[in-house]
Amino acid sequence: MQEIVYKNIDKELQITFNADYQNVNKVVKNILGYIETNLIPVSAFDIGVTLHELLVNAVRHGSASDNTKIVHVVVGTESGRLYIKVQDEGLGFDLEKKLCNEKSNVLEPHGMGLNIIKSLGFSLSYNRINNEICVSKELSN
Amino acid sequence: MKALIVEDDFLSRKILLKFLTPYFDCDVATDGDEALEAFKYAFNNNDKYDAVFLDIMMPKKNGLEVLQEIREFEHDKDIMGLDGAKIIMTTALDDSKNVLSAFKKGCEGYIVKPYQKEIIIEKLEELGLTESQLN
Repeated sequence: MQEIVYKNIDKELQITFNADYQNVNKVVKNILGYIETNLIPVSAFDIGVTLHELLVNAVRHGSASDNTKIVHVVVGTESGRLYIKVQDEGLGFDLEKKLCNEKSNVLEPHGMGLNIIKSLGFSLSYNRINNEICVSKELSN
Repeated sequence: MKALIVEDDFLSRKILLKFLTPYFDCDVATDGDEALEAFKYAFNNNDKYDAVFLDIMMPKKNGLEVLQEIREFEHDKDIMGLDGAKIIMTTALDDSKNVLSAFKKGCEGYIVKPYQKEIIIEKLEELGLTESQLN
């Protein structure tokens, strides 16, 4: 079974991994290594927490903890911003509703995860068609 | 494996104890001072806790203060990084600021109340704490 595949293409790190919590920890560690190696000026703490929240969310909710499902991650920089895209095989959710409606599930654990990511200064967008969440943050040059 | 549950609310303590007992030999502490006493006692008797489930909102000494003191204690004993106890903060809904503070002080994760068995088990799996899982 495929576990984790890393590809470095056009200044992007592309990763696919089976939806498993142990893979999450390995992927987070390797992305932090990639960021350090490429001297990308962002806080390792901010990236570590954000990646962890996004990937655990993709495993728990997007993949229903089914380790035969695949999670895709892309990390790169463009126009002075770091971006992280996470795509899973789940049905997705309404991010805007989750973030804006007080009576929505914003208070669920993964809703709090998104609030943590926002409080670290990341912008979030969500592509419902590809079931992909994208977060980005200005590089600290 | 050994775990310390730190929780001032009786019912929460009882539920967490029930969910964690299949995975850990559990001790409980009802406030921050008792938690630190238990943690240091276990360490000094070479019977360290593998995991600490630490409530953030407690009277007197809160979970963030206890977390910081545990990490300082470990640091003084030259225990760093992965060698330290896995500390999982337990918290009420909509507490992202305190959770972020806890990450900065060195916790490994968080669980949101009310406790759900599946979420707790997933958190243990995520942190590699299920080796002693019983059938």
